[in-house]
Amino acid sequence: MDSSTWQRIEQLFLEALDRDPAERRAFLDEACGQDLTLRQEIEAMLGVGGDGEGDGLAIERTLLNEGQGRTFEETSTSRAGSRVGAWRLERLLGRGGMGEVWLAARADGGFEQKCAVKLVRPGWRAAELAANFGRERQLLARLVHPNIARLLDGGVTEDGSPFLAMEFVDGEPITAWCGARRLPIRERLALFRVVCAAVRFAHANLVVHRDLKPANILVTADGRPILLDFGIAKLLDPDLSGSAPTRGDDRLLTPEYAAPEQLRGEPTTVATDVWALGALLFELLAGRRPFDTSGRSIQAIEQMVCHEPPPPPSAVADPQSSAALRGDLDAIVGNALRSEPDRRYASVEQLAEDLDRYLADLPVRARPDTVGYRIRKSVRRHRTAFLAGCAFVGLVLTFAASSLHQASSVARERDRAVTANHDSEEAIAMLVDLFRLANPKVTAGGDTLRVDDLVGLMTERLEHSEESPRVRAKLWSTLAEVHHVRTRLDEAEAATLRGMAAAEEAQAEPELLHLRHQRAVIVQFRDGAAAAEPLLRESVRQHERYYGVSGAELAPVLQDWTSTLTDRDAAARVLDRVLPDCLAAPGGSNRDRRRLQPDRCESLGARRARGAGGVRARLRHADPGSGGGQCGPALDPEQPGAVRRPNRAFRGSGAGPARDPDQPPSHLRRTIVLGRGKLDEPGRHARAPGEIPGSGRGPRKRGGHHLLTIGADHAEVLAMQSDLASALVRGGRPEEGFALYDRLINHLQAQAVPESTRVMQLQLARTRGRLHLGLPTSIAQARRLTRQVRGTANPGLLANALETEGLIALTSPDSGNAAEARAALREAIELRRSTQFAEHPSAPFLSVAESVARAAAGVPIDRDSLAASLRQCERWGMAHPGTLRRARRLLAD
Amino acid sequence: MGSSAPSLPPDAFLAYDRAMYEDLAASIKRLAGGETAALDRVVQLLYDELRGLARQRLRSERGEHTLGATALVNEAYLRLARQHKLDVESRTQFFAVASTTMRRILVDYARTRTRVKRGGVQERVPLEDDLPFLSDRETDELLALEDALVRLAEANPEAASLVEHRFFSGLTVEEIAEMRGVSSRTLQREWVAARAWLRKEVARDLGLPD
Repeated sequence: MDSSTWQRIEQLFLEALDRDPAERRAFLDEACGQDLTLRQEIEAMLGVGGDGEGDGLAIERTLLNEGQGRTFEETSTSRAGSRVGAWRLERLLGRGGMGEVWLAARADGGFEQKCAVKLVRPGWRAAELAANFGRERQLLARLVHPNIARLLDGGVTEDGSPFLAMEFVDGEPITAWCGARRLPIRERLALFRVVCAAVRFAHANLVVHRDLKPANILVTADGRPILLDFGIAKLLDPDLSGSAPTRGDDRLLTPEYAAPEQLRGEPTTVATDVWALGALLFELLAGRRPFDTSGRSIQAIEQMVCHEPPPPPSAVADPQSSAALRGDLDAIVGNALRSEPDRRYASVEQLAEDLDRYLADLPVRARPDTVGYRIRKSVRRHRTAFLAGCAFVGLVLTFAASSLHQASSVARERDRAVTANHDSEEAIAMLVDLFRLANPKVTAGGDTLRVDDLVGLMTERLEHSEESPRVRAKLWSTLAEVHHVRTRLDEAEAATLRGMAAAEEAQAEPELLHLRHQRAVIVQFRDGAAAAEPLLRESVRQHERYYGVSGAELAPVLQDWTSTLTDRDAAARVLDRVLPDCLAAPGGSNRDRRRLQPDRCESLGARRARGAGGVRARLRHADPGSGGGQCGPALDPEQPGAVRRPNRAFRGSGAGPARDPDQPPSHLRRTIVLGRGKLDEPGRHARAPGEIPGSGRGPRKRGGHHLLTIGADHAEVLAMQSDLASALVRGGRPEEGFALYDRLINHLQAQAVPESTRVMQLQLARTRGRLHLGLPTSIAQARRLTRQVRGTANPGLLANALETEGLIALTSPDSGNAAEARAALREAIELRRSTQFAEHPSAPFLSVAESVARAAAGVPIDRDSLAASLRQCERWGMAHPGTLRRARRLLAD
Repeated sequence: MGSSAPSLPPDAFLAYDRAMYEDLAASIKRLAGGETAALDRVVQLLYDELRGLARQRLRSERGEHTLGATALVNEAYLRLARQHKLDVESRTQFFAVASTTMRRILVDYARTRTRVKRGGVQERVPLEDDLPFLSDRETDELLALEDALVRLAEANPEAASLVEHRFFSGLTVEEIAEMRGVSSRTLQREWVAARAWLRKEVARDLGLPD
């Protein structure tokens, strides 16, 4: 037989076969004409090789059989009752391209357990599957989740066909379940959320489903959705585990639910499951599948799914539910069903989150931004969160201000200044634009925009921003700070990553460095020191590379890095060596300066104290004999001798005028930074009652850090200024110091809260300054202050007030005051002892002062203990000089 | 498939087997890489292995007296794939060679058997040690099929190869389509036509009723 004869036979035979049997005769009459041999041949073929596998030759069955003289499909009924592994097959549940699914029970009599056994049809794949099986099985066995059907067992039958035993789930496909119960949309969404959570769990365990569809998501009678066949698609298709994607007629595919990349034969990822979930959500909401694939060839399906966007669910849903779907749900489904995997939700988590946002009436991320939409959302919630809004406004303004400042004063080169200035203007324009939306005159209900809305707006603007990458980098950084403040740490980190990308695009090294550091700090907050240490170490390295080994820019990074070190002493050594130079170094942006807040030292001090064994360690660190120059033990700033760098510029400042009367401001600043600490009352500012009420700008405490500093009235700014005043008073410029105190006090009192703790602290500090310099003080005023402080229930502050009152009484020429002084000092000692560390650094001084008061009242004193206390005070170079002098005289007598 | 118990634990190979499969995998890779000289080696190894597997199977106490060529090839492949990761190219080569080899084994057996019967020659039947490997009717059909297949190969080698894969390795049309990178629909039609033609030829050859 030659090739053309065969071609003709084949063609005619197939054409005849396509026809109705009744028409075949007529067809052959015409097609074969006089060629009777051909006609006989075709007719014979039609006779033996008609439709279906039918009766063939005995040898065919022998060749193809699986041991029983029949094909796999033909033997299925006879398989009932047979054993597969430890399982006895009971009932055929279904049959598909890959093989059959049987209901089975344990055959080894161990215990009653039902399962669904999947028998895989043997074939060239089957063999490969068996080979891959062990590895995948372990992965799947780890997938224990209440909403995922477990893989119980698996193995290879003796003819080399793999089988799987899965937890048997008696349920209905999720779509049918919802349909039968006419479930309202919200309940469908709730059910869908559970499905999302299960898929997320699997993704976290490195298993992608790849074949999510209603038939694989059954809902049990008690309403629990259970996902079947997790990871089975991969198990059944070895190519999925390799690099070569399977093209063409992939039997494993369910074309109606296949994602575009699956149809295109591209690798499948978590995005594939996102798509499938989108398709499922579509079907749950609209009652039909996103693409009408019925009766279409796989090529047509591919064309449709890959190149045509699905209709919005609302367009195909029935009219009652259509309105509810329009908008957010349309957008969410649309986002999940994007043809390009990387344009979908990046994870199932994001999809679920957006649904949560929808359910909470928050703006969904999938939704394109329009002002009206924001406002509708906002108004719908009917909530105003003005204070939080203020914080946000403050933060962005701080950003704007700081970048302006940076532009004007910091840039090392003229060019950079110009760029920075330009950047700031761009950024500010964007921010102003943003806040215009909050103006009720511009958008109805705009003043009810919440921080969430603003943040969301800013995020979306940034995502679609055409600003220069440098500006975007800065804005992402600001946004990250906002998220950080609000402890949305995942979002914060994500924002820093976006910012880093923008900074890289802009080749803006300082911004990149800043963002890198920012991210590390966020990670430290979220995941702890160990997780952040490598990031911070790298941050330090990069900063050093760019800025050099010392510099103001390095200091905060260094501080943060050392805070992650478990070896506290090593951390302290690093800081001692590097930090002072960093701080003294010229340059550094205002932003960096701002970051160098005392509270950073404080928290470091606190951490160090905790890490190295508490107070004792603090005291040791405070001891100049141990190496001196520490970051300073935590001491009350208002204590005499708040400056605690005895080996450095301010050595001995507590005992007299500083050595160098013309200290440069940078030294002062360093003093402030290093000298101030509030270890004993870590939350004092944050918790102090009556503190700048209504401003909502108190420092936010999160895990011991102050995170937010804004505005002139901010507690930290005030504290720094108070420290500055204290340093000025003790550093030889008392007029400036007292003037600053007065300004601060007046400023606060003008804020209509004269009794605020802050004011009292400042008043006390001012009085202590006068005492320190031996200036006249008023005992009456001191008593009044003590009374006020008693009302605040702040033991630290009260101890301070009592001590101050005692000292004033002690210096008063009226000897009758000695008893009052003694009483006040005793109470202060008692307070410190009961509410604070016994080793509070002011304890020895209080003890000295109390001895002096005793002596003044004519009561005998313990000279030895006085001498010991005095030595401690002297070693620290702090405390009230006048009292110390009197104590020395007492001992000399 | 039917009655099944877990079998073939991965370590059930003798050292001999392992060495053989190593040789086989390497040869298949060479073949897949275009080294046609490796074909002889692959055929030789597979010929022996498939016969060995058939013998094991027929001797086993499970009372199976039928061949199951598909199962044999699967088993050989399974053993191979367990030990050696094969790429798609090698897998294709394996099944191509295995189909041809299985066909040769069966035809060799059928011819020997016929010769023995016909001539009464006391010739040792090599394959099954006198176990009933194929029935008389199956033997006749196989030989007629072989002749028809040779004729089909003259007219359309691809159709003949399709039949060979389908019958002697038990691959489905879809699998063969995937292997060849063609549409399974086209191949399915070719298969139906080829099978009908072969059935007709065998029936005519053996004088069977239509």
